Amino acid sequence: MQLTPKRFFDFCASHVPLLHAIATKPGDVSEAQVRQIIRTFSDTAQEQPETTWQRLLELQVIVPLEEGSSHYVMSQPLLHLLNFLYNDALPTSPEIIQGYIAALESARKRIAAGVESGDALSVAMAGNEIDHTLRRMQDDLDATHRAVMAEVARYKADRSSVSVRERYQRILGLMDQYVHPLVEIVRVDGLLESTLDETDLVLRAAREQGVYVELAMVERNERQIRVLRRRAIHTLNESRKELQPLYDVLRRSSAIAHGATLALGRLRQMRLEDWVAHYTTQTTNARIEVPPTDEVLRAIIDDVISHPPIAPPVLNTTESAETPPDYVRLLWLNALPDMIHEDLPVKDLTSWLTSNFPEKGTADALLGLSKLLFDPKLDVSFKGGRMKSYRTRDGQLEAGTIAITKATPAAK
Amino acid sequence: MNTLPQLKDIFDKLRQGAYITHEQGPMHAAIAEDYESYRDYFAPLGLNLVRHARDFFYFHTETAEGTPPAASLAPMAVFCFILIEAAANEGRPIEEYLLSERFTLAGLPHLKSDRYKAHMRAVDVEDEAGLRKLVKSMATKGWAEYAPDDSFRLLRPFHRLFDKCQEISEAAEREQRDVLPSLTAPIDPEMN
Repeated sequence: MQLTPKRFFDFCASHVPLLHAIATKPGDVSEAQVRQIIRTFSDTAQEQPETTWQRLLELQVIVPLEEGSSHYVMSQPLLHLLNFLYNDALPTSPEIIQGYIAALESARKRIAAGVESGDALSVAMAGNEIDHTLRRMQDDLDATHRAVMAEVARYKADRSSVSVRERYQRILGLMDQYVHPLVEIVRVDGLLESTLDETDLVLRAAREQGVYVELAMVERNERQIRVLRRRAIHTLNESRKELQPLYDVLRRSSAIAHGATLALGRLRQMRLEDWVAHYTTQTTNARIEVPPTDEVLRAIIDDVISHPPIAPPVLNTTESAETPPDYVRLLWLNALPDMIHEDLPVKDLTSWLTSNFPEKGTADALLGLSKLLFDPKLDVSFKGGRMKSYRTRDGQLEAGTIAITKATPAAK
Repeated sequence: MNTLPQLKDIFDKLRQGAYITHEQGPMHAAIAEDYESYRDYFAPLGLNLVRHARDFFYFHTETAEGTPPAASLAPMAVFCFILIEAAANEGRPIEEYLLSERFTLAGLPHLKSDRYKAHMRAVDVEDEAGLRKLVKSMATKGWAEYAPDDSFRLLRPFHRLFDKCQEISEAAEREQRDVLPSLTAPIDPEMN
């Protein structure tokens, strides 16, 4: 018999509970199960169960799993329609979205090649494919969002005795399998965004170079890309926002339940004193009869022994206009490596220091010498030989010859 | 002479190992108002006054100087762990449920299954009278609020137990993670 839309929709309209019952059955259903559902959900006064069964088959509401099989599934287009009507959706896996991205990428390449060779037909075909893929992506992302919302609503309303751990595992599954990977794909610097950018570019090229005359299609694709870009990130972030609080609460609840079970389980395996020490939260009983406690006395004695009193520092409270000499010395020391750089190689470092800075005292000269000796960029070597004397402003230094041959580019 | 308000009452309450919660109105208000001063006052006595994130107070010292824990601690802990486990098995939101519900002794799960009965027996609680005594002792410590009709509700210090459970669970998971790699037998060249 010819399958006409009117007959199909008339039947559906008068058998909504039956269709919903079949749609919500997981997996396939046997003929006996379908007949049982018919008896439960159909009005037998209006229509005989056998007639309902025949019409289910004629209208292809249910189709056999394979030819001749007595197990049936609801036909896919009708299942989609029912999911849409009942706002029920299955989340889309990241693998599916990645498949779409691959399809977009392939179509993009064909458009690019078509634009280059002026082949309007291949541009048109690839453009159609992009249109189709974008629509499906949008539908699937929306479905993921709806599925997550529905799951969250179910958890909030569900007071059945599903254990906390099981609830947590289910939410964890949704987060880990769908939301987190999808957010990774659709985020601003993610795979989807770059593919959409590149697809947008080839569509513009197709339009601007006049290879493809049907501009409405190109414009529609561009519009869809803009919409998808906005909505993909938005819907998935919204899903994550819905799930996150539930995830956090259930994660803590699950850990609390797990901890309590572990503690109870070990009650019989340990000495009670040890168990109390490990698994209870103690407060301190203060023995009022003997304050302060030994612990406090020990701490105080320790403090006295290890921290003898020291005089407080005397601060100089008079202000002077001069630059502090320590600061001047620090500037000089910091500038030394640059200054010696101009004179490299230096055969006798102490001589270089004392002759260039005769105004410096022995202490400053030694500081300068240390600064240069330990500078990681300078290649210093001790030549040995006899000791030499060097004059400073206020004394004399005796040292062997120290040479700096070159400066290495990086620290060793 | 010290000027901190309610000092004697606060000390008397805390030194028994009890908690000060919102239920102890004026005492709680006094510490909450000037926590640092009370903490600094008790510190030289070796008493660490702790303010929990959920806004209740207790004394806690890491080294309890060999003082054995209160005898009621083990039965109280077992009682609470059973409550938590039972709530989780029923799929209830644990924290919300345990801290908002009013429980009756008759409705408690502790004496209803052999496993829970065995746990309670291990801490010398055999029957409803034992449970009643235990709940009353929890009320003295600030864990619960007991009503004469044999009902009670749990108070904020219960959060410490939730934290403890979480700590136990995390420690167990860490332990498991540390143990797992060693389960893989190293390759023995002699076997080839």
